[in-house]
Amino acid sequence: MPKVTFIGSDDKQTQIEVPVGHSLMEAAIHANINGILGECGGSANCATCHVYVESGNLDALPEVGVVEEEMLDATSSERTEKSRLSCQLFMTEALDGLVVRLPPTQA
Amino acid sequence: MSSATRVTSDLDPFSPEFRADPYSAYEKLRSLGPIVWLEKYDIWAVSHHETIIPVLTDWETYSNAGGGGLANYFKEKPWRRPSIILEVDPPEHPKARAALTRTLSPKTLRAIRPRFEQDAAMFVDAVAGRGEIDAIPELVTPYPLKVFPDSVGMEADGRENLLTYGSMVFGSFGPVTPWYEELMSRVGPVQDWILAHCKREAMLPGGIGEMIYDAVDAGDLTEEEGGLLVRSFLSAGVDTTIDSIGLCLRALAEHPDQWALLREDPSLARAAFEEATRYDSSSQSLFRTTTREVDFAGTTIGKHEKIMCFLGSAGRDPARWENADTFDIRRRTVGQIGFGVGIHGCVGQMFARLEAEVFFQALAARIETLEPSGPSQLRLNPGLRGLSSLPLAITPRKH
Ligand code: HEM
Ligand code: FES
Repeated sequence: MPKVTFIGSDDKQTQIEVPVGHSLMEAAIHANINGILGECGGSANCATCHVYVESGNLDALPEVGVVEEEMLDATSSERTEKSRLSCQLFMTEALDGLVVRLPPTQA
Repeated sequence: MSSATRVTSDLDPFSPEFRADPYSAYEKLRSLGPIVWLEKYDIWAVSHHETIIPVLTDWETYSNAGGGGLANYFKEKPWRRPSIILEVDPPEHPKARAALTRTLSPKTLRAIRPRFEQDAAMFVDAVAGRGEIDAIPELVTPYPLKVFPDSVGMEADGRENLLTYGSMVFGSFGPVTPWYEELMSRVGPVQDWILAHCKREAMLPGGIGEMIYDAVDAGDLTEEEGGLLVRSFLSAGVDTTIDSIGLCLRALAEHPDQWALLREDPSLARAAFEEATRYDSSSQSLFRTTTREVDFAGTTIGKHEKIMCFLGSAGRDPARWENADTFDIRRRTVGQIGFGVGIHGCVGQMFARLEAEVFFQALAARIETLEPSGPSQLRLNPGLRGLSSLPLAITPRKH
């Protein structure tokens, strides 16, 4: 199964396996990773699943959709060019090894 | 297996008996299998957490363009022009969705919170010393009926039209009955009022309605689409919150231990509402229509067939929730699907959560005891679950 590493705002690293087709948000919640709230359950509506994509096969990431774009404008922590909503990132084999950093706040 | 061997049930999800006690009917439905044919209406029913999610997330197979209710727009003419957000699929859907997402963003919500707090305090203060109240007309309904149109930027007159229109919108999700026909005999003037209040000229400055027309001015939407999105707002934003807040209030009144937890720690208000959205909430079901023949857990579903997805059953599914029938405001509710899931998952859910959180915080800060003082009554609407009456005995908090 492809793996993703989450780096907490305290720099703690956690690597988890994410089933293909699952979102990073779901996987993080399932693995009890602190720093992802996912209050809207993945409808790109709450911006509490914000992550900064640090490294990996960036070409394999889906483009930022129009709805995601609106929510990224309203994140609690600063938006950077690395910002994504983890509920819109669905796991693929090509994304194996992705590293994402969690923002200091989500709400 | 083929559709010849499908599991069939004579359950009628729109009958008074079903609506009086949907949860035991859901238990029965879940025990029958992953998908059940409801012969009374010639529709399918899915009722497990694990089977509803794939239906709601595979929009290519399970379309919203067939209509939000029982009526099948692939086969019959809708009563009003279909919603341009709820009743469309991609590629049309993201455009309207992005515009509404922007207007309801966390930025907007942060700005309106203080106003919600003021209004919630005012409505709770007005009843706190009254002893016995009917909480639905006297406490629950007035609050969304003020804060919602205030947020949109609507004038103060005629707002009760929102309630009648909401009844019609959600009434149309069910079958045509004498109740529905009587209601719809009054549709003309109400619909005219609503459409007039969706127009640009009707929007007061600084509201969400004006933000929708800003999207029109930016070229993201046409003038007509702007009006239709305001209509979506007015359709979906009032009854839903009244009903869900009312049911949450009843759950708290019926579970004194849970009310005590909230009263001691009002910061649990948001969690309490989230748990109520799983446990007993306004949106019990929604519909999808197949775009093609599809195999569903071994059963063949034909093209253009309706599937009724019971969100209310997903919330009580023991395969997903421990002690599913227990109302526990400290439960880890993440993953509950009372607001739907996928691309159509409620666009107003953060607005609804804020509205309810502020309401229950105000209540916990001002009310000491809260007990049922008589039987509550369900309201009659096939599209939403809610109460028309909730008699409560209350005492104010001593400070
Ligand atoms: C507790 C209150 C509420 C509940 C339980 C609720 C429930 C839902 C559900 C289950 C859906 C999904 C429908 C589907 O997938 O077919 C939905 C969609 C929607 N809701 Fe809500 N809702 C609530 C409050 C609101 C509010 C306050 C607004 C407006 C501010 C709103 C606006 C909408 C709109 C426009 C849609 C269609 C979204 C789309 O199709 O992309 N709702 N709601
Ligand atoms: S989970 Fe809400 S925006 Fe991603």
